[in-house]
Amino acid sequence: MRSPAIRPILKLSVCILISISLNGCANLEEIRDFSKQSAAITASTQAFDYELQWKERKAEYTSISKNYPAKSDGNGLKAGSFDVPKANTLELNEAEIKSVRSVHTTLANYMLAISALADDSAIETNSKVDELVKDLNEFPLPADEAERKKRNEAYGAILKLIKLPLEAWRQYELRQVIIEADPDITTLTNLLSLQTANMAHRINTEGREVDSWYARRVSDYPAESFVQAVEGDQARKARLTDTTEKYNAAIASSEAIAKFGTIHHQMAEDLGTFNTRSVKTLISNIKTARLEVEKARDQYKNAFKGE
Amino acid sequence: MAAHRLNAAELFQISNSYYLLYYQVDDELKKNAGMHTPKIKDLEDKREELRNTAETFSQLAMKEMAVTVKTPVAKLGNTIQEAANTIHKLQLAGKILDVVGDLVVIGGTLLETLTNPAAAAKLPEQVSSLIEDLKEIKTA
Repeated sequence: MRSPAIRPILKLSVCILISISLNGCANLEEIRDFSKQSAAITASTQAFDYELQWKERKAEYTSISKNYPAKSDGNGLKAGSFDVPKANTLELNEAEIKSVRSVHTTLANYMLAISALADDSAIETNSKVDELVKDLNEFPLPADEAERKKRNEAYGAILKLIKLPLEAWRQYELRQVIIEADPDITTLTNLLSLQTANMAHRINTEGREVDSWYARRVSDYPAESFVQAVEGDQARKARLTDTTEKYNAAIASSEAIAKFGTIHHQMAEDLGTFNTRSVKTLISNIKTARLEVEKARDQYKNAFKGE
Repeated sequence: MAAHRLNAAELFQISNSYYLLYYQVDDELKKNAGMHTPKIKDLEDKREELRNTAETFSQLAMKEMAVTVKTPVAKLGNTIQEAANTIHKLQLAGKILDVVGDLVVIGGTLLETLTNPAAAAKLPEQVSSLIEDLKEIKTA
């Protein structure tokens, strides 16, 4: 008597379960992992911080230059001392620095929020709910085992059905957040990507100008000994290698940030369509982008590890 | 016609383009290191000019960016808060499911005691679990 009444509920719950497992969970997992990686890379302000410290590094070169009086132009010694690397420092006040940093933290926090919403463990139930069917099977009523199992499977399905609207709600909220935030994400990722590339160029320019400064110093003030010449050459090469690595890493980071913006926009457009093909393409793109972001993140971490 | 005021993104793009030109001239000069000709002097001046222009636009872009980002950052801050609230509600709903689970298990045990009075021994642990879950909901 009870079984026929339960059968439609069972069928419905199975249908919804299959639908969710096919369209939802696997997709959300990729979104979760991609957002986590992107959060790590956008949270990093090392390139910006390194550029702000150019003022201190430049002061050190000024102090070194004071040990070298300006060269004669043929009419005696020039006033002052040897020049300093020419790259200019970035002049920002505290409020401006704070505002730029807020882009990093806000984007990272947003990506972490997306990652948390896309995480299956957002709806946590303890093991009792999942193992309830097993527990129910131990109960003595009704006496017929086959009937008991059938009934308990139905109870299990009902409990899972209670969880299903929550899963659907989570997916709906995730989509809504992505769609609503998309215009701001596009603006901020575009700006942060351009700004990070700009910091990369500033760092590279510093490296090039310091290298030219070393070249001028060697030419105007030849080393007094072989050891001094070798040391000077090593310092020059190490400096150039360091800034080149930082430049490459910051460029990779800039591209990764831009990639997040593009993928986010694609998510905003495709997640709401329920078009299986476009969602599949989206997930495949997210997977590729995640790998690129991971690579950029490692490169960035290595290049700025001492900062 | 009013002059178009460049936004932060445009300023960065201009600065980045000037940096790329600066690299080209700098590479050219590095290839001819040690040479002192009028052409080299011209290139040195050009390099200086390109770097200065790139840096000027970079400076302007950074200042403009600091202003531009305020509104989207604030809006995104609200979105993050809303997402956090949703996660909180979802976790709370998950806890309510736990309580449903607790109640079903206790109900089953009560039924079981009709035929097996010894099953009542499971009840204290099951009730404790229910109380724990209810406490978590209260504090959530």
